[in-house]
Amino acid sequence: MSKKLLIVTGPQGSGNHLFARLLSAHPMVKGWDSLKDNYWVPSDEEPFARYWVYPDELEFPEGDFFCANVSVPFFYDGVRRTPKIKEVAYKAVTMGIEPIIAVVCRDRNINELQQKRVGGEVTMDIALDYYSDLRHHFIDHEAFFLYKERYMEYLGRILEFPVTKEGIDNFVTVDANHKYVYPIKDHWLDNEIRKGRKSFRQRLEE
Amino acid sequence: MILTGPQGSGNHLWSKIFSLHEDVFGWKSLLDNYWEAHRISEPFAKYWKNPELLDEFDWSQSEYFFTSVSVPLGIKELGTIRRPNIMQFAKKVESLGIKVRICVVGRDQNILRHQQTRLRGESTVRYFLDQLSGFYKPVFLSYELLYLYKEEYLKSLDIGMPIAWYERDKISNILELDANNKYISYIKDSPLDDCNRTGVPSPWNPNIEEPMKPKDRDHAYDEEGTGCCGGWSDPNDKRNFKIEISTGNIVGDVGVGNTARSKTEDEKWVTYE
Repeated sequence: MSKKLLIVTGPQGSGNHLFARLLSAHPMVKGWDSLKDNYWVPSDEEPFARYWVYPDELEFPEGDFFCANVSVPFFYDGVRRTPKIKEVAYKAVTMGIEPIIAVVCRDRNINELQQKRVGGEVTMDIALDYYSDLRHHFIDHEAFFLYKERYMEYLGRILEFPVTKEGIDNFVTVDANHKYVYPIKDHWLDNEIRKGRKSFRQRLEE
Repeated sequence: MILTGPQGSGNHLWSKIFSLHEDVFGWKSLLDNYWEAHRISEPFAKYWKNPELLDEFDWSQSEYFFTSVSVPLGIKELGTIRRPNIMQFAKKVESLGIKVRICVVGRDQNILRHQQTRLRGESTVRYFLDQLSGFYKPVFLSYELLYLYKEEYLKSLDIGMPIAWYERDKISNILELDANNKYISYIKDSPLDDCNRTGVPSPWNPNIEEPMKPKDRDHAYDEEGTGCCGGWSDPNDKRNFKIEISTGNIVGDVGVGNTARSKTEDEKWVTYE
């Protein structure tokens, strides 16, 4: 069995912290420990943070499975940078460690509103440009909240990485999308859908 | 390939995408209409009603077959609600020597709830979740990923069936209107915004309720058992700490003759640790 490095990345505000925490939770995985004590920690305090800027310095602690996390772009020492994910992955390969890259996705409308509010500008396209050149898996923010344990099982399968369902209840009670979503009164297609659900006889009578 | 999901999770949208490939026997008529009723035009609609009829289906038409169905189908108040049995259908198809792959569609749970409540009068996700645990190694598909990464996402999918990810113009037309957009509104701020801006870690986790800390008191009775941390005390007990807070009066031990008196200005302030 080869050692593996799972790199969880995503546009800013897409759920990087959430999935870093979830995918570091398995006891065999060395991950972002300070996220166990804090709900939010700045990206440049992530254990691999320095390597996103200086990939040649990459080192690993003892262990077989590692989970690293970074958004694109990210802030390191107060400066916004594009992390050198590809370089870190190549470096890991030279050290005999198999890199797996997983990109987190959240609803684009919500993600861009969040980026604009927090950072003053939308950085989505920087991330999309960077990922277009990368071989990676996808992780879905919304599917986690909808399907919970079943989705975590699926992630373990596609990532081929140890994943636990223990303790995920601690993360699913507050869905960060909830505050952005409001009901709408009606939609132009609603009546067509309702008509399509009537019996043939009812439709003929009308 | 069986595509399924809760009502309103994007079944029609995905049906169009997967029916685009010329080698796939799918819901082709949906490519000419924005919306069609499932039970009228979906090619396998009658087999969802009675999977035993699949014996009569002509499997020589193609190498790849695609069908889509939501769970449930229809509207309860119209008396048309049905719960297609996904595994019954899948097992019947497998018994005919056809390999089956189940794909599960997902969409933001808040939007699903609003959409279902508006159209169907209630949230119907539970009907789908009841069946989900019975599916063998399903592939999860995401409405939001499709809109954000489009053909790159389609290329990444391994569903055992060809996908026409290269039909960029047609895919762009299908994805022209993001149906999520109308549900989403700007919010002014969020508790974690300052952490993001300043880089200061946040120990506060909105998912976990703060544990209630018992306060030190100079009397034996338990003021915390008042409903403010669990509701297990008698709400009519006048020693209830909430009464003290809301009335500004200190309530003495019941039954020992103490009478309430007004608080001084200093006593009105409560210090929490």
